[in-house]
Amino acid sequence: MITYLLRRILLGLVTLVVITLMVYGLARSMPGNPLTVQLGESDPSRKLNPEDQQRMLEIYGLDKPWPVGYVQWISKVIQGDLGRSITRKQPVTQLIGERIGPTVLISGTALFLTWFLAIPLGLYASARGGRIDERFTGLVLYALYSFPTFVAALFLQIIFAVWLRDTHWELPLFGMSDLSSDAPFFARCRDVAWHAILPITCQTYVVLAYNSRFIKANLEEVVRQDFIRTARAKGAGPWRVLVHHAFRNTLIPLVTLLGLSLPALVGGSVIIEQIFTWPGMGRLFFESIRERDYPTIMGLTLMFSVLTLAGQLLADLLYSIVDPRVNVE
Amino acid sequence: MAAPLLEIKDLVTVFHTSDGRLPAVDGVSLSIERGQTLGLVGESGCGKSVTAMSTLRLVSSPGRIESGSIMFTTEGESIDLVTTPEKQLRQVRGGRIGMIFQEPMTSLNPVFTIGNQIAEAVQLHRKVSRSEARSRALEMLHLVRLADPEQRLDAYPHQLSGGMRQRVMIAIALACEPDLIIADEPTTALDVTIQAQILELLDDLRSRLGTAILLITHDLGVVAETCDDVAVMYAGRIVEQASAVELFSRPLHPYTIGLLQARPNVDARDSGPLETIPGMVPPPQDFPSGCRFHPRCSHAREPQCNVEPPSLREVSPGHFVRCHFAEEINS
Ligand SMILES: Nc1ncnc2c1ncn2[C@@H]1O[C@H](COP(=O)(O)OP(=O)(O)O)[C@@H](O)[C@H]1O
Ligand SMILES: [Mg+2]
Repeated sequence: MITYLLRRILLGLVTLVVITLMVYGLARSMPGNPLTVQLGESDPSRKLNPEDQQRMLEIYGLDKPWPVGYVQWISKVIQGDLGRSITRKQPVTQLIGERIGPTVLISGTALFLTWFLAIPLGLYASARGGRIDERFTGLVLYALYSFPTFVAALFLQIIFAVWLRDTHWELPLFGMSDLSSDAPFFARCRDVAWHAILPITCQTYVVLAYNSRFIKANLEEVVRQDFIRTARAKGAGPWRVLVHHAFRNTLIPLVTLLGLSLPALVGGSVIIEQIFTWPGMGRLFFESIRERDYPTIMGLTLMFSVLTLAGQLLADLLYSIVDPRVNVE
Repeated sequence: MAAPLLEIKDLVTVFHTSDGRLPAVDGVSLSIERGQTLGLVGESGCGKSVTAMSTLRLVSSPGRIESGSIMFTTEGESIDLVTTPEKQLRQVRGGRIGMIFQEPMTSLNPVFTIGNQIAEAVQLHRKVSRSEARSRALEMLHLVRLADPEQRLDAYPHQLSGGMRQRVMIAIALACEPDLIIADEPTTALDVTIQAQILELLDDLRSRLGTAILLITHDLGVVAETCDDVAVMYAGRIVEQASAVELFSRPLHPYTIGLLQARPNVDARDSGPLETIPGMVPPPQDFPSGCRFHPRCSHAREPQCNVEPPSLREVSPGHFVRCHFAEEINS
C-alpha cells in the first residue's frame, strides 16, 4: 500500500512537471507579454519606450528564452514560492487564496448537487424504465445534456434578470454581492447566495444530466446480469434488487466518473465565472491568460493539475473499496 | 390423495418479439411429489429454463406467462404461483422454493461476501438478527461441505472455484429449508469430477432434508443416477414422462430413444461412434406443423406426423408419450 502510494505520487510529480512545462511554453509563446498587452490595450499613447520595456522585462526575468524562465519558476515552486503576479502586484498565493472561496462556493455546491441529485434520478429512471414519465424525464435530461452552458446562462440571465425584473423572482445578473463589506453578516450571506443561484444552476445541470444518464445506463447493464436473477429468486423485492444489488455494482464505473468530475468542474468554472463575473479562480485564470500574467497562469495551472491528479488517485483508491476484485497492490 | 407439492398445468409462456408471439413453453404439465426428484430433460433450447423461470415468475420481459396454472401446496394450503400477488410470491421465492442456476461464475453478486449473500436469503424470510443470520450462513456452508467454512464466510465469489460457488448457490437455495429446489443445469458448467460431487451433495441433502428437487439437465446420465421421475421436453412440450426406471428400461418416444443412444456408454467402450440425433431443436418461430419432432425423426410417416399434432397419451400406468406410433416403433 505504502509503496503503491509512493509510486503514484512520484508518477504524479512527473506528470505535474510535464503539464506545467507545456503550459509555460504555450503561455510564453503567445504573442505579446504582460507589458504590451496591458498598456497597449488601454491607451496607445502610453506605450513604454523600448528601453524602459526592456528594463522591465529584465526585472521580471522575461528577457531570456522560455525554458530558462521555466527552470527559474519551478525552482522557486520547489521552495514553496509561486511568485508575484505581474499585473496585480500581489503574491500569487495570496491572489489564489482570495479567489478560492467563491469558486468552492459555486463549484463545490455544483459538485455536491450533481451527485446528490444524479443518484436518485438515475435510480428512478431505471426503476420506471420505459414508462411514460421516465421517457419524459429522459428526454428532458437528454435535451439539457446537449444544451451548451453559455447559451443556457444567457437564457437564464434574460429570464431572471430582465423579464422577471422587479418581481419576486428577479435574480442578480452578475457579480457576487451588491452590499458593501460593512453590511450585516447575515444580509451579506443572503445576498451572496442570491447571486450564486444562477451560476450554480448553470454549473450543475449539464453534469447532472450526464451523470444521471450514466447511472441509468449502468444500472440497465447490471440488472441484466445473472446475479440479479439470483437476488430475485431469493425473494428480494424490486427496490432491494435495484438499490442493494444493482446500484452497489454501478459504484465501480461511478468512481471513475467521480474522479473525472473534478477537472470537468474546473473547466466549467472558467466559463461560468466569466459569464457571471464571479470573482473566483476560473475567472482569474481567464483574465491572467488575457493579461499574459505568467506567474498567475502557472500558479493556477499547478493548482488545477494537482486537483485533477488527486481526484484520480482518490478514484483509484476508492476502486479497491467498492470492488473487492481490485487490489491496489 | 393429497395434492402434489407442485403441479404445473398447461403452462404457456410466450415471448412477444419482432418475430411475433413465440411460445417457448407451450402447454407443459408437470407434477412433483414431496421429497421426490423430477428430472426435466431435453436438448439446449427446448424450453427447460423458461419452464423453471416461469415457476417462480422470474421470466423477464418480453416473456409472459400466457395461460396455465402452477399450484404449490404446503402445509395443506394451495396457491397458484401464476396469479398470486407479488408480495406472497416473494415469500415463496427463496423461502419455500429455492433455485440454483447453471452459471456459478456469474450467479453470485461480485461485491458481497458469500456469508453476506447466504445471510441475506435468511433475513429476507425470517426475523433474525444479523449475527443469527451469519451463524445460519456458517451452518449452511458446513452443510454443503465447503472446505474451511469459517474463512470462506468472508470470502468474495471471485476467490472461489466454480464448484465451490455452486455449493454456495446450494447453500443459498437451502438456507430457509424450502420444500422444493429448482436446479437448472446445476452441473453443466462444471468439470466432470466436480459434477459428480455436486449431484451427490444434492441427492444427499434431499434424502436428509426431505426437499423435493426439480432437476433440469440435458444429460440423461445425470437423471439416471438421481431422479425418481423423468419428463422429456422437446420444442416447448413434454414428449414423454415416466418413472426413471420405466423410462430407461422402456423408452418409447423416438426423441427419448435418440437421447439415450447419444449417451456415452461407459460399459461398452468399443461400441463405436455415438449416434446423435441429426439436426437441432427448432426455436419457437420455426416450430414445425404436426409432431414438432417429425423433421428429425427416422420413423416419421406422412401424412400423420407432419399434419396431426400427437397428444400426450398414457400408454401404460404412469407412462405418458406424445407419439402416434410409439407402440409400433417399439414392438
Ligand atoms: N428472452 C427471450 N426472448 C426471446 N426468446 C427467448 C428468450 N429466452 C428464451 N427464449 C427462447 O425460448 C426457447 C427456450 O429457451 P430455454 O428455456 O432457455 O432453453 P433450455 O431448454 O436450453 O433451457 C429458446 O428457443 C429461446 O429462443
Ligand atoms: Mg437452459
